[in-house]
Amino acid sequence: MAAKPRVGIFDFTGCEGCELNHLNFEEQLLDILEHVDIVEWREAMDERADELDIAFVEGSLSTPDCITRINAIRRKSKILVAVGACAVQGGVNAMKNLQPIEAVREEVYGEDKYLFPTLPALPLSAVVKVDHEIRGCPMTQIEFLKVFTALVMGKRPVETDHAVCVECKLRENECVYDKGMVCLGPVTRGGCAAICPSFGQYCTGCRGLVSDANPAAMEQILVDHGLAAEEARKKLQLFNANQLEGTQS
Amino acid sequence: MDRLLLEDADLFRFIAHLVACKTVYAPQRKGADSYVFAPVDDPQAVVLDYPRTLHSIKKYFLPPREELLSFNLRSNAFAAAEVEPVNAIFLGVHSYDLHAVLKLDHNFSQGNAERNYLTRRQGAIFIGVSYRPDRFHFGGSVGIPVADTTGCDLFLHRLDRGHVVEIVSDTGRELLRGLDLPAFTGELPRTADFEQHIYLPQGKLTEVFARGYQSGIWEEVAEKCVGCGTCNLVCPTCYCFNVEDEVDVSLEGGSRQRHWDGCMLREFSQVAGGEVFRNNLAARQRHRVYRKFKYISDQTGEPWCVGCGRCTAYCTAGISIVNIVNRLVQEHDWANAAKL
Amino acid sequence: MSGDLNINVHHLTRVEGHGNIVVNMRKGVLEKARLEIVEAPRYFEAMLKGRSFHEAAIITSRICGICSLGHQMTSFKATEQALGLEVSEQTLLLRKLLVHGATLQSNVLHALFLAAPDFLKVGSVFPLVASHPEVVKAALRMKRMANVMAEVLSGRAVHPISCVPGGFTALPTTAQLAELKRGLAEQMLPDLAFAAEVLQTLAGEIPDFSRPTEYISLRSDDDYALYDGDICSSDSGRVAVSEYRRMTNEFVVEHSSSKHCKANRDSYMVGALARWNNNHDRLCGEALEVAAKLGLEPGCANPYMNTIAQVVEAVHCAVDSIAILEELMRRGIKPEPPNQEPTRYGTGVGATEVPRGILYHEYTYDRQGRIVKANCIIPTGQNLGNIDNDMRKLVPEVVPTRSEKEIAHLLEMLVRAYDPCISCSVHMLDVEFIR
Repeated sequence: MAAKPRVGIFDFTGCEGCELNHLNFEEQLLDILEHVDIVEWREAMDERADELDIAFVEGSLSTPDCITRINAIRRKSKILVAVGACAVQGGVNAMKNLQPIEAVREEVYGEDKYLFPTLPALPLSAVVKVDHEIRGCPMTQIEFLKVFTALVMGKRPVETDHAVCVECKLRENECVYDKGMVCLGPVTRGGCAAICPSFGQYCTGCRGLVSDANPAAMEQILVDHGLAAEEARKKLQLFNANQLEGTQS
Repeated sequence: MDRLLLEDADLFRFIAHLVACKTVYAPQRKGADSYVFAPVDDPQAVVLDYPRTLHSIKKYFLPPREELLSFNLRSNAFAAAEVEPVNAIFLGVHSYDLHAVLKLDHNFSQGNAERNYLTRRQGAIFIGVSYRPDRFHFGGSVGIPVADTTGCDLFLHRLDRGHVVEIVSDTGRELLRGLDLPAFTGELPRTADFEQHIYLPQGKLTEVFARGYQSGIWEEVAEKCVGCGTCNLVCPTCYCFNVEDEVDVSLEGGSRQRHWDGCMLREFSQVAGGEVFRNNLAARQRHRVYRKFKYISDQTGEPWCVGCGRCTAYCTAGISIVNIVNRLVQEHDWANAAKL
Repeated sequence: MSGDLNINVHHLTRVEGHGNIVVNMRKGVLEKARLEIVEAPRYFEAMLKGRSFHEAAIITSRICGICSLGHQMTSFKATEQALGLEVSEQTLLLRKLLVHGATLQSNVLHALFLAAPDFLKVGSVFPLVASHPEVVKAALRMKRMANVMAEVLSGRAVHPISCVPGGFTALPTTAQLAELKRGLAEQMLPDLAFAAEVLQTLAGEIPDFSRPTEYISLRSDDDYALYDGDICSSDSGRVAVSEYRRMTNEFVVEHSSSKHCKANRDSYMVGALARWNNNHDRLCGEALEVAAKLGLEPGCANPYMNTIAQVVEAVHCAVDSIAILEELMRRGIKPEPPNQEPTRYGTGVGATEVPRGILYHEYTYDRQGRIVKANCIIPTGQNLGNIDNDMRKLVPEVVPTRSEKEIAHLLEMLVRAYDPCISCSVHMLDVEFIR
C-alpha cells in the first residue's frame, strides 16, 4: 500500500463545532488515524506542514487575512474539502451580509468599529476551487466518514442531492407540517438522516439547498402554512443567505 | 357461517388471541396526528379507525433500507444477506393497501423475479378493515371500494359498536379457532361515500394519457412543486430503489445497501457521466403520474394507483393527483368536443 | 541574557479559535505581554436582530460548537424570563443533566487532549496514542459517554436539537435514562478515577505560579452552581444576575477582537478555578477527595491549576448526574409539549456556568416576539484581561532562569490552562513573543 495520505485540518470564521466533531469520532478516531497522517491541525496539535494530500477546511471567509490563508492552503493541498455549513455556504455568518456592513460593525463595536477588518462572509468556493463538500451545521459525521473513506480509497465521493424529506420519510417520521410547525426539509439537502425532525424539531436548512431547488415554491409553502412573506424569506436565509438570489448586499 | 360478530368489548381479547398466534403488525398512533403500522405489544395501542398510515405495509416486504450483501475487501469475499418470510398477521389493513401489495407482487415477479421481496411475501396473513374515506381517499375511482376483501384472509366491517368479521379464506377461518365469536346474520353495513373522484372511465385511460403528455398542467404543477420526493416515498405502489456500497472506516469491508428512491428526485434521473434525463420538475411530475396511469397500466389494463391519497395528503405544496388527472380528462374531453 | 525578550506565537495551537501571544521586553523592562485575539469578528448581536424567539438559541448556539449547549441554555433562560415562560421541574432536571454532560465532555477534552500533552512534553495528543494508549482510550471513552448523554437527551452534542425555549421537543425513555446511569456508574466514574491517578503522577509538571485575583462565578444555595445561580465575586459577594453589566463592564481593547471585562479590580477570572474557589463547599465528597489527591486547595491562586479544577468538577458532574437520573426515573418521564405561549414581552437576562466560566445572554423582545436588542458576554472575554495580567507577572519572574523557548512554552501553557474559547470570545489564541 502507498504511503498514508497527509491530512491537514484548518479553520476559518465559524464556531469550530465541525472540528470538535472530528474529535467526537471517539470510536472511529483510532481507525481514522490508521489510514492517514494528520500533519497539521492547530486546534489539536503544535506541528505545521508544507504539503498536504487532503485539506479539510471549516469556516467561512470573512477577513482579508482569511483570503490570504485559504489561498496558501489551496496551494499546498492536492484535495480541498469544505467542511460544514460555514465553509460550504457561508453559514449563519452570511446573515450579516444581509445588512449594511457599517451598521453591523457599529452594533457590536460602537465607535471602535474600524479596529477589526471584516468582509461579507463567503463560502470557500467563492475564493478557491473546492473539490468536495461535507455539509451540515455541525458537519454531519456519517457524511464525513463516507467522504473520508472514499478519498482514502482513491474513489470519488458521492454527493447527496435529495431533500431532507427523503430521509425523514425513510424513517417514517410524522411530517413536521402535520404538527402545526413549518420546516425547510422539502428544499434542504439530505445526508443528515433527518436528525432534527427525528428529534421533534423542524429542519433549519443548515445543509444548504438541493441543486435544483425551487425557493419560490418553498416560500409559498411557508406562506400557505401561516408565515408572512418576510418571515418566510428570513427562515430560508438562516443558513442560505448567500444562495438565495437578491439577498446579497 | 362466514360472518361473525366482534363486539368492541371483545376487541382486545381478539387482538390478544392474534398476538398469541403470531407477530401482529397493526396501525398505532405516532406523533400528534399520524399512524404507522408497528408490532403490537399492547392490544390497547391498536387503532382500527384511522385515516391512513404514513407508510403502507409495503415497508415489511420492501424495507426502506436493507442490506443486500456484505463484503470483505481483504479476502475479496462476499455473502448475500439472509432474508426470511414475514410470517406475521397484518391487522387493520385498508383495501387500497392490500391491492398495492398485490400490484407489487406483479411488479416484482415480472421479468427477473426479485428474490428478497418475494421471499418476504411468503406467509403473511391479512386482516382487512373498512374505513371512512376522508378528503383524500379515492379508491372508488380506481376500482377499489372501501370494503373490497381481495387478498384478505379476514375482513372487519365496521359497525357502530363493533365489527362484522368476514371469513375470506381458510387461513382466516383457522385463525379464529378457539375465539368462539357469535354468528352475524344481519346486513353488512353500508360504507361511506368517497369525497374525491377521478372522472376517468377505465376505457378512456389510454386515450387520455396518450394526449396528456403535452398538457400545460405539468408546468403549472412544477411551479408549486419543490421536488422533495415525498409523493414517491409514501406511495404504496412505488418500488424504485437505489443501491449503494458502503465501506467501513476500517477499510476492511462493508456492505451493499438498498434504499427507496423516487422519480421526483434529480439524483434518480441522473446517470453515469452526469446526464440528467428528466432535468426539470415538470418532466418528473409527468413521469410520476404516468407510472401510475399509463406505463404499467398499458400492459395490465388497470390504474397502478390505488387511491390511498397519501401523495396528496402529505404534499406540503398541496399538489393533488386527483386534480391533475381530472384536468387531463377535462382537456381530453374538450379536445374531443372541439373535433365534433 | 541581554534583558531583551521577543516572543511572538502566531495562531496559538490546541485552543479553540485564533489568538497570538506577544511579549516584548527591552533592557529588562517589560513593554508588552498580552494575548491578541485575531479571530474574525462574527457580529452575532447584529445577526439576532429581528429574529423570532424560536430562532434565538438556534443562532446563538452557532457562536461556539464547543459551548453550544451552554449558549442554548443561557439563551433559553433569557428568552423565558423576557417572555414570561415557566418551565417544568422535569425540564429543569433534564437541562441540569445536559449541562453536566457538556461540562464533562469539555473538561475531559481540555484536560486530557489539549493540556495533558504539555505535561507529557509532546505537541499533541496523537503521539500519546502510541505512548499512552490506555490514557487516550479512557479519555475517548469518557468523551463518548458524555456525548451519549447529549445525544440521548438532546439529539447531538454539537448544536443540540430537542431543547427549545419552554422545554423539549423530544424526551428520552426511562430505559435510556437507566442505560445512561449504568454507563456513568460503571464506566465514567472508574475512568475519571484513572485519569485522576495519571494526573497525580504528573503533578510536578504544573508550573508553580501564583497571582491572587478576583474570582467570579455563579453561586446557588441548593447545589454546585452550573445551570443557574446568583453572580458571586470573591471580592464583593453575591448579586443578582440582572446586575451582570455592573459585574462585567465590557470594553474594547485594540489588540483583541474580543472585548475585555473588569469588576472590582482591573481584571477577574472565571471558569473551573473560580467556581472551585467560590463553591468548593458545594461539591460532592468524591470530587473533594480527588481535589485533595491532586493538591487543589481552597483559595488557590495558581491559574495553571484550572485544569485540575476541571477534573475535580468532572467527578462532581458524573456523581450528580447519577443522582439526577435516579430522580428522573423515580418520577417517570412525562410527555409534555414545550411551553411557548408568551405571557409578556420585555427584557430577560440568562447566566449559566459553561465550562469556561459565566456566560450571559440578554435579549429584548418586541410584541411580535422578535429580538430588538441582544447582548452576549462570553467567559473567555472575561478572562482575557486576567490572562494579560498573569503574563505581566509571570514573565519577569521567569526571565532570569528560563530560555526564551521555555518562557514561550510557559505562556502557551498559561493561556491553554484558561481553556480559552476564542470562537466564543469574538463571537480567541496564538503566542507572539517580542523580547
